[in-house]
Amino acid sequence: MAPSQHEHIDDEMLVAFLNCELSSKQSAYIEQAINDDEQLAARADNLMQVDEPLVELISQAHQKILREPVPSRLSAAVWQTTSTGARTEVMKLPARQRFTGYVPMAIAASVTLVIGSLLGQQFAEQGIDSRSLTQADAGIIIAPTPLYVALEQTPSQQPFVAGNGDIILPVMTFQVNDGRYCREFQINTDSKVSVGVACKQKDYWNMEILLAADSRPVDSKSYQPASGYSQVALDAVLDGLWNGVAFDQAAEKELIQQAWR
Amino acid sequence: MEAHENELRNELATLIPRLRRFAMTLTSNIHDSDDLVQNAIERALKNLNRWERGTRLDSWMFRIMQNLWIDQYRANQRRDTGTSIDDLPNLSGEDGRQVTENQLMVRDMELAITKLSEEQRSLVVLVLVEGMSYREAAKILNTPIGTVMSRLARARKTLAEQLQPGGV
Repeated sequence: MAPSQHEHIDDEMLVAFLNCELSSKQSAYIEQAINDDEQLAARADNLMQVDEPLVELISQAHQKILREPVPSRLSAAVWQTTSTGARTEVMKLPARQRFTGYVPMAIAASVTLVIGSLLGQQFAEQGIDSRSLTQADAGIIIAPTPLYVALEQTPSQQPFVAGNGDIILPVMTFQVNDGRYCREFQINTDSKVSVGVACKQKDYWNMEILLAADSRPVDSKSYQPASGYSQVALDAVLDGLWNGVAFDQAAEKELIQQAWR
Repeated sequence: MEAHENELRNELATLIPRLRRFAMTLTSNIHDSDDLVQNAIERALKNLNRWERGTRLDSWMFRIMQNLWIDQYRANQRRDTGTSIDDLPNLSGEDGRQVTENQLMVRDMELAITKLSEEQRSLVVLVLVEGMSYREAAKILNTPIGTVMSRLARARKTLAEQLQPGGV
């Protein structure tokens, strides 16, 4: 490596420069020297690493904005039509079978059938249509089953209470690349917590994912998150399906009012 | 081509929170910052052919935002002269309890950052928050690397002074 052209600029002078203690003329000289000499730039860089607590504090500033829901107009801007007016192509959903803990659709159908029969019966007690929660064999969720109603009308994080107190909880709403709106949800019964994702089609919701139910305390009627194995598996699935952008409350409310169109 | 464009849009979508953070430091106003991010996204999508595959999308987006800010917002003087305390992220928790000393220091730092010049704020975020190299930051800001270091040094000194008792 060629020797630095600015060895006469010692660390003391560099520190003075970095601490803004030089005259404007001296600072301009050092600044130009750093521009011209990578070795000198590297030395200055090393000297700037001394105040790590300050840097750590700076890095924490404005962190919360990273966790806030992205405004819907910004996510919509990303998926707007191209300058040529063409829509983006449909992106296939990820191969779900690769995720540990995922219930393939054929198996999921039987699980939804169980859940459906439970909630369907409860709604029957209230005089609501007693069809099962979903049409399990087709993997679709139709009106006016309880899950359909909850997905259609209930904002995220607000429980939809079924006939005997069992709970359907929409967790969040997001959009996949082909434009469909999808919702993560939980179903809490006395003995089970099931989690899934459904995406809106023209007049029904398509069950994209349904995870095997976790057991939960039978004496608790309050909402509690699914935990352990199923939640990990759901997160893995969502990582592939979801781009990390969830609708905020206002955007979701608008979608509900417009019947997801 | 479209598959590539979809990948790009996916990546862009995941960048939005970081773009908002950068915009917030430029505009000091959450409403203007979201306008800036939206305009930057729209400009990027109109100029996708100018983005070089294999280069950093985040750097490209930051450069677009910086240019937009200079071209439009500063020219129109739409930005606020300072940050409203209401615009700053609420770090004290929803019920105002559980405020740790560190959180207070972070909040002081957020306020201190607003005291920096516009150029210094951009640099602080790009280098110290986003972890960009001086060279990358220099490219984004179209500034010589020596100037980057000089401005950054002044910014750090200002921040350190602001965080002294009575500074903020």
